[in-house]
Amino acid sequence: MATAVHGPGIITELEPFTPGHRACSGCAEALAVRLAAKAIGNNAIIVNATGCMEVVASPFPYTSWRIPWIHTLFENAAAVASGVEAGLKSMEKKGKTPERNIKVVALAGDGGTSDIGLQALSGALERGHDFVYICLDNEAYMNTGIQRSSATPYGASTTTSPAGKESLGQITWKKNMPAIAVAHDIPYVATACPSYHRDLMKKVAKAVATPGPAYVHILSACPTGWRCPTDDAIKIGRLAVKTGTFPLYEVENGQYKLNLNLTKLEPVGNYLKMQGRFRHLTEDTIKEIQERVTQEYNKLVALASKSGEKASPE
Amino acid sequence: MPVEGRTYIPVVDEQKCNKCRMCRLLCPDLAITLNEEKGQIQIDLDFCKGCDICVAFCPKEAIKMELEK
Repeated sequence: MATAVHGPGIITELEPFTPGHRACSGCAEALAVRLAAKAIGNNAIIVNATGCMEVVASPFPYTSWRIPWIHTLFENAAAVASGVEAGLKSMEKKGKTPERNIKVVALAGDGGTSDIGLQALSGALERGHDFVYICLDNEAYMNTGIQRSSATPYGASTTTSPAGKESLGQITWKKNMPAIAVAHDIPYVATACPSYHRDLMKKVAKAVATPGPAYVHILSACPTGWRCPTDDAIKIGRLAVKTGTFPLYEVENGQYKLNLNLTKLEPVGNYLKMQGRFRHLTEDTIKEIQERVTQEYNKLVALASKSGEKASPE
Repeated sequence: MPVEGRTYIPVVDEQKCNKCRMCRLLCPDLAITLNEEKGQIQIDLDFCKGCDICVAFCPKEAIKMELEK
């Protein structure tokens, strides 16, 4: 049973990432991994850095993965992936293994990508290995108990950037990882969100099919760390996209393309007010965030219009 | 035995359900399957964590959460 009519479109029934994992109730990251695994298919090797998805999917002696899977440290997911890719290439060249076009996919959280694993990632992108790097961004170190990372947005309260009388919460802006990946001049960079599941699967499939390095940044809501009800995980993802906080776009060989044609952005307040981690924000701070979001979004629109690609209607 | 931490479980209203399987696609735990023999959506309570996502996204509003006994 390769394909069957499934949901609103035709989506494969293949499930390389199986149920029974120990993710929290309502985890959008587990959903993102499941959808990405469907798009990657069976002919792949997964390199998984330490993080939520490694911990919940492989408590010894169980595993949720039906495909080969390696656990790496926080910092070297990209380095191990490039080693696996180079090793496979070399063995195929020497005839020690048949040519099967095996894809190598590295998975890491936002801490493993934008803080600890950035150096290894930059090296792997620069060397041009044929692999896909997927960053599962839940905007803090959720696995160890909600510590801030450089991907945590401005104003968010975490255990290491707590909000209080004298403190605003996180005082730095979110690191723009996709822009860093684009700066390496790689063939494919995209941002995705599990709330837009078909878009996510399309982008991961495209990244896997691209020769050379590809980077996909996936924002996934975390009800535990974002302090929101579990059923809001998908809704919050939609709002993140519609408010312009996390715009969906792809960059093919330097050409920007926005995937959703948002004629008018929703106010950022709608997105912030759904989450407990932003509960302490005052109107002034929300206004400040709104200005920054609009500015960043306009920058992106300008880049996209320069590339001449038109966004498809929403 | 109920899954630890779960209070509510989803229950499908067969009259309203049109078998579109949107719930299966968006379930993070893949706890929902379509039983093709019976033509019914079935929820695997070994895997369901009671997160409510299926309820929030059912286009026909055919799933409800009920207190687990």
